[in-house]
Amino acid sequence: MVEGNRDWITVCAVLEGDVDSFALLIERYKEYVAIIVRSHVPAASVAEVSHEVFVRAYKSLAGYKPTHPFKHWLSTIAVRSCTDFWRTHYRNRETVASEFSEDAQQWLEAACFADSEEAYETLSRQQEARNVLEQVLHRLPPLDRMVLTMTQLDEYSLKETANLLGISAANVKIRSFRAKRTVRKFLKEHGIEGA
Amino acid sequence: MKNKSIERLLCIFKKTRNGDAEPELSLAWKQSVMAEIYSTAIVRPLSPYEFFAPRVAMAAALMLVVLSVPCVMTVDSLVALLDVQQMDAVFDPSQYWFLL
Repeated sequence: MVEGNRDWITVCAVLEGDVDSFALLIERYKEYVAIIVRSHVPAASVAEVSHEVFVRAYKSLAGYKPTHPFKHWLSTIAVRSCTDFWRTHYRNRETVASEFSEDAQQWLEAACFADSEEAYETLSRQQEARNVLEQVLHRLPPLDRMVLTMTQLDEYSLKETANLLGISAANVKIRSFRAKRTVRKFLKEHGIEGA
Repeated sequence: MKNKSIERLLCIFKKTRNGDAEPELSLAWKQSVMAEIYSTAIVRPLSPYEFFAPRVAMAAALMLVVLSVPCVMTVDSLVALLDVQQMDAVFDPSQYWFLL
């Protein structure tokens, strides 16, 4: 509550013309925003997208209502900026299907048949995990990608995902189902039966 | 059984992402954000009046045009008809009453 009041006071100061006060909000939330952004975009683009998040937040600051915490409002902007990042990125994307290496194929087979927590841990730390994850996510349209990441990997609830992305819970369900179907298709293409 | 491979894969991906290092944003980054903010204006949300007034005005102007077209055409036809009747009256004295 104290934090909420503090944020609201800062927002009011910015709205009254004290633009420098916005630096306080950046300082308070830059790590929080960077963590959200990092979970959706490549590490190399985190600074660029986080920059965009704060500029968008500043532009629409007059629309912020103190009925919800500033942090939640900012996280909505962060998630939507990540979706926009992928929309822009996908317009110029090139196919990466041919880049699936022998090591990645072996990793995928090992991952799909791993049967212990230790095996999960070991596999998750290998470089191929990141490559395969990127290959899988690359198959999905921007919004489906965000839905799969948020519901399956970040463990957001359907309602939270829907609120953050600005779509209905039913739409989240449909997109989640569609994304999983694409993952299943990806596994079948790489010879993983029963996927 | 059907989705087990996907569940395993997603479970591993979750762990992979949890192992990511925390991103750091430098002071130069903050300064670049502030530099852009100084040159950006806050967009004030429109009141309902500001939002709807131009739309209502546009709809009214459109309706005025749409309604005035048949009116103008009717008046034009009426004037043409009167002209014809006047011409007829010139040649037929029994219709002089029309000009009174």
